[in-house]
This record gives sequence, C-alpha cells and structure tokens, in this order.
Amino acid sequence: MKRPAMVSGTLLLSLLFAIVVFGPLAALIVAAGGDAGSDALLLLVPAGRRLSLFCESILLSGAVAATATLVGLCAASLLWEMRTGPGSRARWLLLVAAPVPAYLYAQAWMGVAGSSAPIPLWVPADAILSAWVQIGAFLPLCVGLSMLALASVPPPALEAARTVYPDIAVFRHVVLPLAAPALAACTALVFVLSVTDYSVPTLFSLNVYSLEIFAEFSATNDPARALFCAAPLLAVTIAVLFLAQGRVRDLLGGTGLCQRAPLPPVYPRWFVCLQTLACGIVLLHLAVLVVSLVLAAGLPAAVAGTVATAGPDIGTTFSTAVLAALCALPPAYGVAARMNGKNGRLLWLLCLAPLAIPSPLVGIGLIALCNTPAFPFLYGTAAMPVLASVARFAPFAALVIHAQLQHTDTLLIDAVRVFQSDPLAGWLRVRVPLIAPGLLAAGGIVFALSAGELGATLLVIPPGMETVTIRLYNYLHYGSSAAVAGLGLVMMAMMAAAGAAVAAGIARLGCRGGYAGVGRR
Amino acid sequence: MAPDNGTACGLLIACVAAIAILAVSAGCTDPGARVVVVYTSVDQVYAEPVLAAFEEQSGITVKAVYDVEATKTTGLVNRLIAEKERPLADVFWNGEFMQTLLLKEEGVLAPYESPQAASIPAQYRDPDGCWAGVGGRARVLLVNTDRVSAGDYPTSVFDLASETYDPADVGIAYPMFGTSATHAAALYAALGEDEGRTFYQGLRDRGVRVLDGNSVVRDLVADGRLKVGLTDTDDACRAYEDGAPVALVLPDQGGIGTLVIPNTVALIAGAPHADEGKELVDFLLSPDTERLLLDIGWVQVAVRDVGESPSCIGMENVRGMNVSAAAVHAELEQAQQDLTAIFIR
Amino acid sequence: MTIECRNLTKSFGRTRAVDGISFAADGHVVIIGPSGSGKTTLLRLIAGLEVPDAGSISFDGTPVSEPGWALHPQKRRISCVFQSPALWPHMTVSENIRFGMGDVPAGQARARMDDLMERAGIASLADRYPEARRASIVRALAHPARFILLDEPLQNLNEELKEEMFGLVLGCAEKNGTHLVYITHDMAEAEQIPGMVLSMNRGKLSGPDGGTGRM
Ligand SMILES: Nc1ncnc2c1ncn2[C@@H]1O[C@H](COP(=O)(O)OP(=O)(O)OP(=O)(O)O)[C@@H](O)[C@H]1O
Ligand SMILES: [Mg+2]
Repeated sequence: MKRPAMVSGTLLLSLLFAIVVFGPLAALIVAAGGDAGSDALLLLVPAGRRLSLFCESILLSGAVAATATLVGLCAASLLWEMRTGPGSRARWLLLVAAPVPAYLYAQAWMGVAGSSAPIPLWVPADAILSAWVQIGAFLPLCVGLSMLALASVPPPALEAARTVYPDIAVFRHVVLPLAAPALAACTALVFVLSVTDYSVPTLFSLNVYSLEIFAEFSATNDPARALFCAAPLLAVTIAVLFLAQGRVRDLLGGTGLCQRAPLPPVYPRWFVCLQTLACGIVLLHLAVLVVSLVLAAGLPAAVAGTVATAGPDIGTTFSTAVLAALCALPPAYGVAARMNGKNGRLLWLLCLAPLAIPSPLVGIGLIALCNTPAFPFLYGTAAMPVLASVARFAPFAALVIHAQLQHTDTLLIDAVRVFQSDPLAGWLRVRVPLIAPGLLAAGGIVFALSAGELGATLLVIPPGMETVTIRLYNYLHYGSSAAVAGLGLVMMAMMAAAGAAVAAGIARLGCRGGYAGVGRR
Repeated sequence: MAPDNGTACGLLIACVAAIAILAVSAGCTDPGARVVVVYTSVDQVYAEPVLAAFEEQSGITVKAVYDVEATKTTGLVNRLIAEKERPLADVFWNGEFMQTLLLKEEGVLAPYESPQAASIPAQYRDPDGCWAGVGGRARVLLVNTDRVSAGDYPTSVFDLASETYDPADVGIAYPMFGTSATHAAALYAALGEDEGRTFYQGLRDRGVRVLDGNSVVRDLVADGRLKVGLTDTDDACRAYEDGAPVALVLPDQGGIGTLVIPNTVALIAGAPHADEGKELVDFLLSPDTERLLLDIGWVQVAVRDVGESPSCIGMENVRGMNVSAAAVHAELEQAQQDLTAIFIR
Repeated sequence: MTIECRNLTKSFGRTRAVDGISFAADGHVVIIGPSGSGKTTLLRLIAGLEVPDAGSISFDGTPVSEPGWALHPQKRRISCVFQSPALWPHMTVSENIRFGMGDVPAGQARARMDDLMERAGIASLADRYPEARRASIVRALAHPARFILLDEPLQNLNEELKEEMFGLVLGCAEKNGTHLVYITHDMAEAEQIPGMVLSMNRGKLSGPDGGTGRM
C-alpha cells in the first residue's frame, strides 16, 4: 500500500512567510535590475564620512537597545512579582504607550529640556537626549517583552534553585539564562527599530546613518541605491545577533505565565534600588509623555473635535492593525516552529533581515509585487496596508512565538494528538491555548507596530483612506500641537483597549484549569 | 517532519480565511460614482478644504493620498514612479516644482493644456504642457523680534553665514529635503556650483543649527530659542498670525532676489479617471482656487493678478530669483549629493 | 534535628489543602495519603515555598514559618526532590548537580558529585530525560542539608532502579546524619524508612493514632 504524501503545514506557512516578507524585497531587486550604476556597489561598504557616521549610529543604537532592555528587564522583574492584587492589572497599563510615535516622546522631552538650565557645551547633549528619548519610546515594548521572558521560566526550575541559593543568585543563574531567548529577541527588536529611526535623532540635530539612506534615496529616487545603502546596517544586525545566539541554550521547559507567586523573592538592597530606579524611569517617561500630551491637547471639547474628524481614520487604523496582527500570526508561527529544527538558527537570523530595510523600500517592493496584472484584485485596496504591515512585522511575531514555543511542553502536544476526538476541537481546546500567550503577545506587538507604521503604509494605502499615524504626522508638520496631542491620546486609548484584550486573553486562554505549573506538569 | 503539523494546518486555514475576507471586503466598491484620485504633497490641513470645495462644485468624489514630510520626500513621488505602469492616481498636486520636473523626466506625467492655465505666465508652465504652476510660497528669513532689534535684521541669506549672529542662534532645515533642497539647487544655479557649495560649507563650518524641517525652524524662532531662521512663507506666516514675536524678511531684494516656489499641478499619464482628473486640474489652476489658497494661507504669492494679497507680508512687488525651473532642476542632484556629504556626518 | 509543626493550615481559594496539622519529629518523616490529600502542600510549607495561613513550623526549636512570614528556603538548609524533576533546562545533568550544591568548595564538590553520580549510575549521562528523575535525586543528595524533602522521588523508575535509588537515599541520609521528609504512595517503601509516618486525608492527619505512626 502506498502511503499518502504528508505535506508539512509549517512548511507551507513558512513559504507563505517567505512570499509575504521577502517577496517585496525580491520584487524590488528585480525591478531595480541592472540599472543601478556601478558606483552603487560602493555604497555597500561605508567608507570615510559614511563609515564614521555608520559606526556612531551603530554605537548609539547598540547603547539604546542594551539600556532599554536592561531597564525594561529590571522594571519587569519588579512588576512581574505583582501577580495578585491591583498591581497585577495595572502593570499592563504601562504598555499603552508602545505605539506612540517616538517623535511625540521627542517633542515632550524637548519641552522639558528647553525649560531646563542650559546644558554645558562639552556634554554631547544631542546624543544623550536622543538616546534617552529613544529608550523612553521603546521601554513599554521592552517591559512587555521582558515580562514575557520572565514568564517563560519554568516555576519548578525556579523553586529548585531557591532551596539552594539566595534569590539574586537564582535570578542570575536560572532566570536570566532561561529568559535569554526572549530577551535577545527584545534587544534585537529595539536595536533594529532604533537604527532605522532617523526622526528622533534629527529632531535633536544628531545625524545618523538612516538619514543618510533617506538622503541618498531622495537625491536619486533610486530604490536600488537606497537598498545598497541599507545593506551594511543589515549585515551588522545579523552579525551581532549571530554572536549573541551562540550563548542561548535551552533544553526543556514549562511556563510560569499563570503561576501565582507563593513567596515573593527577597533581593539584596542594591538590586531592589535598581528595580525601583528602572520602574521610576518607565513611569517618568510615561508621565512626561502623558502630561505633555494632555497639556497640549487642551479642553476635552477640542479633543473630542479632533477625534470626531479623525473618526474614519481611527476605524481604518484599528482594523488594519487587527487584520495585520491576525494575518501575521500564522506565517510567523510556521517559521517559528521550524526554528528549532535544523538550520533553525539561520531562520532566526533570516527573520531579522527584513527589519533593517527602510520602510519606503518595503512599500515600493510591494507596489512592484502587487501592482501587476497578476493581482488586479489586491492593489489599490484596503488589503495593501495590511500586507505592508505584515511584510514589515511578521518577523517580530515569529521571534516572539519562537520564544514561546521554546517553553511549550511537547508532551502536551503529543497528548492532544492521542486524545483529541476531532482535530478542530483538539486545535481549539489545546493547541491554541497552549501557545496562546505567545500568539497574543506577538499579535499585540504586530498590532502596536502596525498602528504606528508610516513609511510603507503611505506608499500603498488606497486613495481616500488614511491612518491615524499619517494624519498625526500631517498635523505635526502643520504645527497643530493640540490636534497632534489629541491623536496621540487616541493612539494610546486604542492601545489600552488592545492591551486589555490581550491581557484578558492570556488570562482566559493561557491559564485555564487551576494552578498550572506547581508540582504538576 | 515539523514538530506540530496540526497547529500549523489550523493556522494555515485561518490565514487563508482571513485573506479571503480581506479580498472580498476590499472588492466591494460602488462602481457608479464618479471619482478622481489625487496625490498631494500640500499639507492636509490646507488641501482638504480645497478638495472639498471641488467635490461640492463638481459632484465628483475626491480620493486623496497626502504626503508626509517626515518621510523626507521619499513618499508619494516614489509611489508615482513605482506605479508608473498601472497608475492609481489621476492628478499630482505638488507644493513645489522640483519633484514635478523629476516626474516629467520619468515619464509619469501626461501633457494637458488646461484652459485655466492660459492666464498663467509662461515661466510657470511646462513648455510641453505637462504641468502648470499656481500660487507660490517664498523662502524667507524669520526673525525673533524679542532677540533682534529692528535695525539688526538680516537682509540676505548670506547674512546667515556672516559673523553678525552667534551660529547657535541661527537655524536652517536640512537642505537635502523638500523646499530647502529646492532652495539649495536654486542657489547653485544662481551662484554657480562652487559658490553655492562654499556658502553651505560656510554654514556648516560656522556650526549653524541644522533642524528637522521648516516647521521646526519656525517653532524655535517663535519661542526665542533661535534669533533667525530660514523657512517657507506658509510656516512663517502661521507663526506671525499666531501672535509670536516674529518678523518676516524677504531676503536679497537688492541682490539675487527671493526664491518663490510655486505649487504645481499635473495630470498623470494613463490616469484611470482622465476626464475627472482634467476637471480637477482645471479647478486647481483656476484663479478662484488660487485666491482660496491665498486666503487659507497655504500660498503667499499669486502667479497672476487675483486682487489684493491677504498675506502676512506684502508680496506684491517681490523680486524673484532669476533662475528657470529647468536650471534649478538641473542642479538638484549635484546639490543634494554635496549637501549630504557636508551636513550628514 | 527536629521538625515541629503546630496547627499548620494552608488554603487555596476554598480548598483547605493543609488543615490544622500538628506533629513533632526527631528523625525521618514519611507522609502517605491519597491523591489531593495535601502531601505536596505540606512539604512545600516545610520547604518554605509557601507561607502558612495559620500555625507555625520550627526547625530545632527555631521558628522558620509563621502566618505571613517564612524564612527563605535557601536559609533553611534543606534540599528537595520535587514531584517533577525540575531540572534547570539550560544546564547539563552534571551542571545541575554542581549548581545544586551551592557554595561547597570546588575540590570537595567534585569528589562528592562523582561518587554520587557513579552510585546512581548516571555518571556517563548526557543531558536529557528519562534520567532526569535520578539526576534530580542526586542533586538533592549532593547538597549539604539537614533535611532532604522528597516528593514521590521514585515515581517512574523501574523496580530495579527503584531499589537502587532507595538504597542510595537511605544510605546517604545515614552517612551524613540527614533526616528525610519522604512522600510516597508505596507502603513497602514507607515501611522501610525508620521514623514517624504521617497519614494524611483531606488536609488532616488521619488514622488510628491521630495519623502519626510509629517512632
Ligand atoms: N497552588 C495551588 N493552587 C490551588 N490549589 C492548590 C495548589 N496547590 C495545591 N492545591 C490543591 O490543594 C489540594 C492538595 O494538593 P496537593 O498537591 O498538596 O496534594 P497531594 O497529596 O500532593 O496529591 P498527589 O498525591 O496527587 O500529589 C488539592 O485539592 C489541590 O488541588
Ligand atoms: Mg503531590
């Protein structure tokens, strides 16, 4: 008897991922074809002025990524212990600022810096301020991901260590190594977001390499040259990650997301100070942002007016971001599931490559890919901005889901394969809930990033449609700070709604059935 | 074999379903209505009321895509080039002219002699009829009157590079992007490449502050963190009308003249709604619309006589810079490349 | 070395997992009882991984747990075999054992570790299940502790290994003068351990003499 050929679902999903994420890039390269001048190749290796700019940018973003992850982790380690009482809900509120464009943080802090005493000239104030603002803008993301990272530490392993070591040693030797994959993903994410962002540095008159890419692009209107310009960023990102990956090891696992904290850890005073400081920084950034937005927004009536005119945009943004999150998850899952197999690490790295591509190039690639007779039904429709967001952010989702899968007990999957009465029920009742926290977190991140996406969306959004972010940037240029603040608050409200849904979802799906984690696995 | 095929298949089905829903929902459009698609780099706040007026007058629905300055002139122009084979847009309404010339070069624009363009002076029209200019903004010096006394106002852009001001009190926008790039190319054209480069090199060497856009220059001058800045009249006038302690100076009236940058309007080649597109072009080029643009404060200079200027600064007898659009365009790439090398480091 | 529990109580929601248990033991303690009777909870209370709702625990006369307060597990000089192996997933078996020994000086640790791994038959092991069970027992034995808390340590082992490991545990306890707190479902095992037997049911001690058996 002949066995029917088995088609691997994750392979299909991975192919889908490849098409959506790398398709635009490939189309761009094909479209750009040979007509990039031969001197374009020189762009591949930054030299002279470009080289020093490049190194400075890498250093700045490296510092931002490392600091933001560190502060995020310290803050998260304190928040993580608030697993009961009002703190357990309030801590998720910190995440609402995640999709607020970094530009708004910059404006808020410029107000603060402008009213402070003059800074002595020898201080590299522009670099410090720029880094500080970027750190603030990425902190919500870092705190969220760090909490997820802490959740991925199996409680039994934690308790076994606590019987031997003081909590700080447990933190160092057990928690940190186990949280490392998720933390590495977090650092990578922030690094890439920071190194491709020119809006904050330029606001502080600091030149960065990504501005160079845009200058090149705007001077020549040649996507191939811009792509070549961006290539070194890509290379460094991948190299750094490759080195970091070597240290991450993970063999077995469980998840502590739903575990109650029987006994709060006792940390030495210096560490508690650090945690408090980190939480203070997070709160400070949030407070400066919210206060400046509320002050600028003016009377509630004015805010209501802004919101009313932006009504359709809010709908567009919300639905686009939700759809992007939904569409990004399956392909991201497919890739994430294959990351543990052979060539897994290669996949992990490959996933990050598209992230360093300047967003307008993704947009142009999508046009080249979709504005063809082959897809007459796609181009010029509301599906395009969704695709753009998926193309840009599905890799993030893959990294987060991968971190979750690392910690899902494969026995539980085996069990459902044996016991399920029908596949759908098994899928709905066991498989999805098992990875639900990871899926929800990944979806939340894609949602937040999509809501704030500008560069690619602008290029593919159907005429007559607009997102809150596009409108916000338009008002920003016009200089209407009240409207900008109003829209900023709208973004935060939107994120609060989504964040609440995600948190509730994690609690409902991920923690069903009593006391997962303690003693029984 | 993949570790967990079941989950993957389930998710695959979900994905296909989601995309199907997307495609179906996207396909639902009303085929009967008359529609025109416009891409515009004019600030949304100004463009919206003008387009609304057109909708009301013509009964045609306008679908607009607004450019965002934060993307550094890489947005809509590149979109138009990328869409060249199968355009979505019918009309391009640009707040300046440089990118329009580029689009003509790329073959994105279609010739269309609008009847409304007849009254526009030839210098503001493309010889091949691919675009026409209407209503302009000028590049002006914005001065903070609290920090600079009336006698010490600058009179020329070259004063920015002189010893008169502390460089920390002088601001310009990145000259590689937007109207600042146009200005740089115009200076290159007017002065010659070497002298143009020397001017900007001088600004850089003195340590003049280079800021993220004309609106930032405006804001910093308005709140006194800068004494003098170079910006567009629409930005400058907003600060003035908001009551900030600022004065506008038309630079180089005794010398090379002030750069005036007209809006440009063009029809896209292969426009899917060519007839409606022509109607919109006619509307945008009409004297009434030019008047409206002046009234709402988007432009400060009219290309033809539309009556008394309501602008915050008397622009009736402004002496323009004597360079042709083509000459400026010819210098753009060189200027942008030089300036990138000078200012981004 | 004595353990004394007085009126110990711990509830989870409406479940009274441990309900007013009192005993004092100087020697090994064996805990038996049906599933869900609160054995693991009692053990976790003794380990200091849970804080009691009421009652107290003292080791050698010194209080270690009271309502709202519990001495950190690390400071109790105990070691544990958990109901699941609870190995640290990012370490190999030998790293697990070495790390589980805490601040024992390196030279001493090496010898002790090698000896125990040899005797448990896991000296040549790589780093995975199914030997995780034995590794977790060795890890607990290697740690210098005054009490070793074991939660059904021999589950999932075959008869031969069970006997071997049981011998190892008892032998080590004897040699080092450590006392065991030993949860088991296996009456034969329970009978072989000299000391007090606590028989639990629904969170309480049950049985002929109030649940506390022979001394
Ligand atoms: N962390 C917890 N949260 C909620 N309920 C708990 C928790 N720990 C234990 N319980 C409950 O307390 C009761 C006693 O549980 P425990 O694990 O102590 O029993 P056990 O005697 O060890 O059972 P087994 O022989 O199956 O291991 C059970 O009803 C259990 O559901
Ligand atoms: Mg138990």
